[in-house]
Amino acid sequence: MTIWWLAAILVTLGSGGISLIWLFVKLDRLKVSDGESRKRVLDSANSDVEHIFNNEFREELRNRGRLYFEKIIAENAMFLQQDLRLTTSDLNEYMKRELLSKLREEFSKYEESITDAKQLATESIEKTKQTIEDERKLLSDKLTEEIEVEKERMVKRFSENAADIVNHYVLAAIGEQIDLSDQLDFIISEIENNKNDIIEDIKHGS
Amino acid sequence: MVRKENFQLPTIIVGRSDVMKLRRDLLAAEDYISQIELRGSKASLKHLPRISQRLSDFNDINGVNIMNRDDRNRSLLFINELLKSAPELHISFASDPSSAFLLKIIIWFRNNIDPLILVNIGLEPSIVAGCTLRSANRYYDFSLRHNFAAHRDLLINGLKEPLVNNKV
Repeated sequence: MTIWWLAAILVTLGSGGISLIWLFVKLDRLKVSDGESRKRVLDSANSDVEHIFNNEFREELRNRGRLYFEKIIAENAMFLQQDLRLTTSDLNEYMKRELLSKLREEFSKYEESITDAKQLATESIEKTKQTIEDERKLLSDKLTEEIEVEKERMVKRFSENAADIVNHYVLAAIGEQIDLSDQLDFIISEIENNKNDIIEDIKHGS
Repeated sequence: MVRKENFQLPTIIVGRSDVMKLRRDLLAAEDYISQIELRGSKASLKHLPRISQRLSDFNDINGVNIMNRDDRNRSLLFINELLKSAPELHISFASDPSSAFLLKIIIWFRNNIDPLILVNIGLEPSIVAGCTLRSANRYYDFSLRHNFAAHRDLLINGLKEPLVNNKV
């Protein structure tokens, strides 16, 4: 296989050399009319350029460029729109999330404050209730004590003045109906019992 | 002492105020008679003005002739002595005593304590029944009020008994 490769290379090199030689010969012939031919080529090129790149062709190119540019712009706009939508969506999500988070946080704080206030109010109410209960108990005890004292005082007073009370009652009830004549025997017997004392007092008293 | 004259007091004369009225009546009679005597009109002496019941009773019970100056002087002397040194008692009742009641009381005092005793009558409605008696130095309470007070325990027990029975 190496031999074949070598043969191919040698053939290639040989054909290359022959071509070069032919080219040098050709070039040597062309050197003579180089100035004119160059000029003719340039003129021809200019003419062809004018012929090929005429106004229609340019307009065509311009239209194509415009269409292409519009297409690029449209594609970019679409991409931009998509990006914008995505961004908006992300932004919305972000805002929503943030707002929810903040709201939850605020609500949590608010709820905590409400709970604290409620707890405080409950404690305060409990304390007030306890104080009122204590006061009520104190007053009740005091009142009971005073009622007992008053009761005892009244009973004592009644016992002490029972005679006067009954006397007053008898006087009011039947005072006018008591006849002195009926009491004569009683009065005389009472005086009789103290007769000696009375006589003694009369004799030596004054 | 007034007893030397052997005078007596009629039952119509009870207390000091009656004696003073008697004295006033006697002095009025004395004035009248003196004036008649001064005028020398014997006929007028037969028509003496009407004297009070107390003076009349006093004269009757003591045999005093009002026309006799000595009797009048003795009577006046006796009354003055009586006002000065008669034994006195104050007795109070729950209501005004009737004349009959007063008569019995006075008779008893004059018979049992002293014939010339003067009894001043007072009114003390709060005693309800009985009487209170006050001498020169002593006070006697024979009233129902005093009896109630003296038997207070009995009264209290009597009041409590229905309550205890009701509870049972």
